[in-house]
Amino acid sequence: MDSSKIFPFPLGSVDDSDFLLAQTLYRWAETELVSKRLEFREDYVKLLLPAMKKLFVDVELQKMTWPESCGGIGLNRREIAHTLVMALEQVGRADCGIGYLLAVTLTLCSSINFEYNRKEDLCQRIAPFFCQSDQPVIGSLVLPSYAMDNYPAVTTFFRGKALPAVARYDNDNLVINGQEMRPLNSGRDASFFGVLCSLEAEDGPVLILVPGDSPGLIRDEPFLKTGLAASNNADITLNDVIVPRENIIFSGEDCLSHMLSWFYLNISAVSMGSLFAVFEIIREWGDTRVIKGKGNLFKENPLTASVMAEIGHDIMLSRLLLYQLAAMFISPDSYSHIERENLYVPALSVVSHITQTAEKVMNQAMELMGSAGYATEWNLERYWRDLKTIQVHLGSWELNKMDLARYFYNSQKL
Amino acid sequence: MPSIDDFTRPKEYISPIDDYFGKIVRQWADKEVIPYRQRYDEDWQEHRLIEPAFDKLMGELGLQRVLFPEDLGGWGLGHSHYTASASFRLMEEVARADSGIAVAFGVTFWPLIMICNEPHLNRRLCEEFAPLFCNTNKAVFAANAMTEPQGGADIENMEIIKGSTIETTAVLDGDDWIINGHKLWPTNSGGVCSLFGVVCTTRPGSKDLNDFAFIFVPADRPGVTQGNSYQKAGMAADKNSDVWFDHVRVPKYYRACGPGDDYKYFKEVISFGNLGSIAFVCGAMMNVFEILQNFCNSNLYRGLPVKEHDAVAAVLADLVKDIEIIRIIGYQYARMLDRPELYGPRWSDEIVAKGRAYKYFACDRAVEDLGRVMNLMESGGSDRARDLEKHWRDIKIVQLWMGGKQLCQMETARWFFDCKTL
Ligand SMILES: Cc1cc2nc3c(=O)[nH]c(=O)nc-3n(C[C@H](O)[C@H](O)[C@H](O)COP(=O)(O)OP(=O)(O)OC[C@H]3O[C@@H](n4cnc5c(N)ncnc54)[C@H](O)[C@@H]3O)c2cc1C
Repeated sequence: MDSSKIFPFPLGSVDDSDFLLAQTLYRWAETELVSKRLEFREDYVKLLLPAMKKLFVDVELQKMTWPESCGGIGLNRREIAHTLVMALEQVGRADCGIGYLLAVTLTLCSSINFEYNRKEDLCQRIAPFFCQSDQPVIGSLVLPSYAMDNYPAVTTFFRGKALPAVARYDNDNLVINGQEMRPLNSGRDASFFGVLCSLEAEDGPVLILVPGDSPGLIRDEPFLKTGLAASNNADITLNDVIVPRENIIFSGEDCLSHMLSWFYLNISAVSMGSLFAVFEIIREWGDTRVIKGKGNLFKENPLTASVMAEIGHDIMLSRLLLYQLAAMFISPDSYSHIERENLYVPALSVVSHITQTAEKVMNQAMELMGSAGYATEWNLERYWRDLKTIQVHLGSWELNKMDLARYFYNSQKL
Repeated sequence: MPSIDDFTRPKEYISPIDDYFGKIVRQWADKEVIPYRQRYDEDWQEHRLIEPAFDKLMGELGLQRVLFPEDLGGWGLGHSHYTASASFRLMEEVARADSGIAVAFGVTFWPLIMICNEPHLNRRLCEEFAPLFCNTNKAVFAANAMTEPQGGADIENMEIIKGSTIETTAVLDGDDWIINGHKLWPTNSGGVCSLFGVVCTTRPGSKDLNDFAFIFVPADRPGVTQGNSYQKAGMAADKNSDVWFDHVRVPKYYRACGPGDDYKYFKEVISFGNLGSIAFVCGAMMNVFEILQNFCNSNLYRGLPVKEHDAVAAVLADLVKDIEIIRIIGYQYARMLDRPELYGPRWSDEIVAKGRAYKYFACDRAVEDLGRVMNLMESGGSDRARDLEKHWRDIKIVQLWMGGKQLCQMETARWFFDCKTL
């Protein structure tokens, strides 16, 4: 059952090719993941890597947003927001971790290759890696984090948090240093990192593209985490890593907010996909489980039905929000205030809402399934762990709310 | 700075051995568990790392003996006025280090409650089984086998279902019971169990309470098979599996209390299950508090420790407020179990219902709080090296087991509103 068909969204916003892509991804999920899950569980080498290869290379998703002139498919316009959402929903439904990697990779790429902010030189140099490789090419981001109490004197702060790295000019190059930085994903095997740095003479943060094979880039051993097995993550250190000046993807707060907006849209779609998967699991449970004595089907019990109804209700509203957000990306001019705030506030609001809703929904679904919800075999617990891991990578909700307060109330000191 | 010992304990009625137990277990936890627990998840099948901690706690320190009468090698906790209060402290301390260990340890007493507790102490069965637990320095596990493939909640929903869905049968054949059935999930199965307490029926489909039977089955009896451990989201220290009883023969006197009384006192088992659940949650939250104190002091936001941010501080307050309340509720419930002359029998519908209410309150608060704390710690929240996420994964099951939240709600409403059909 593909439950994405049950939850309404504006049909006018997608076209046949979007449906076709979604169907392809559904089939990919069934053959590469669903049918092998019981045997391989979360095995990175036996299950996830081959599935990623199929998705990134054979289905060509890693070529998707690169311009045709660079060997890509040419979907490098803001108008593809709905296409992205539909695709990421399907990938997230199959595996949140793979969806998450794809979401981050597409976010990084969109800051380089989207028509309205295209960096021509970078595009020409980087596109071949994505468009000609027969292996998955994974992008990752290193964003600000809490500072430790023993932070180095050179640390620069952005919105209260420490920028992970420091860069300086050296003739035509940039020299970057950063110690034990935690990327959003794939510290062990990402091919490119977008590292947020402070750079002399620049006021705001600067995103610099650092190829994974740069001399001086050291990858730690992978660390263990709650979920997202597809992300083979490890801390990285940059010791005098040299990259060309042209590797600056953007500088300034507005551009960062813009990139984060895409990130939030993509993550919302992946989370949405995981909700479809959870819905399918709980629906099957409701159709087959019996409680309160023989002959009483689970879905016919008023209490469990009411919790299940809440689950459906939450998923439905979340999807409407998601497509509404995508529509804002496509035509920001049709919405008041969007230009000024660069979509950041609506995107942050929607992604926070959807991931928090997803946490609630998954908690409820587990409640309804007793031990089965907790057993690896039923998969629900995997979505629960994965989703929570995604959520914590969005940053603390308490602190993210400060961004919202600044916008809504013009707070000056937060 | 305040520590976990500054959370309130009802000093006027804690057990005289509360501090003694607490200290011993705290030392054991800090030395034998906390340094190793990050690797427990990978040890879920073998228990190579986990087993020594069990041996120390249950065998060497001797805590697996506490319920049995003193003259049989036990510590006599089963006839004390502090059975529940002392158990609460014990379980809380163990769960601070690892709630999976706490469950495995606590469940070892679960079936034994049927025979070790006054006023229904079964001397003959105590004599039979005490040596198993008291004459060894190795951990010995018991299990309470209730849940069956068709559903665990219905078996616990005793007031309404009255055991009519139980499919595991006990048939008398001369002086023996013949047990047949298939159980799922008992804590301490997966090959580690030495003694099962088996919930079964002497007449399938019957709602006659005399047909509800609780019968002890040593795990080495022919016909008992424990399956492989299930892989699950957390609680690696607790092994769970299928268990099959195939024409297993045990003596007639292995039935715990007899017709009618098995049903009655099994409700006491449920009460203790609720108490244990609150203690597991409370202990895990204590450690979350410790982890968070550390995190909030060493991580900075706008140049100050994170805890100095007003909005963050509100989350910290919510957590400690809940720990305070959960602990007070837990001790109060323990007191209610310890003083039946004031609060009524431990097996009464009232005590069971109130236990259900406290349990689901504690679990709901813990699940929500830990989710928020993980979020506050950002990527550190999902980093296994921080131990926080382990508690988050572990305590979720406390909310789900013993019939799940909805059964708790129904039993609570049923008692307070005198509902007849829930
Ligand atoms: C780590 C772990 C340890 C465990 N230890 C033990 C053990 O020691 N012994 C043992 O026997 N079992 C044990 N279990 C099993 C556990 O107690 C059961 O899984 C639990 O009781 C729920 O039963 P079930 O999974 O069969 O779900 P079901 O009985 O099918 O119930 C599923 C859900 O249905 C809903 N529900 C149930 N009844 C009602 C109702 N009357 N009204 C409305 N909604 C209702 C609830 O949401 C419930 O969560 C353990 C499980 C785990 C994971």
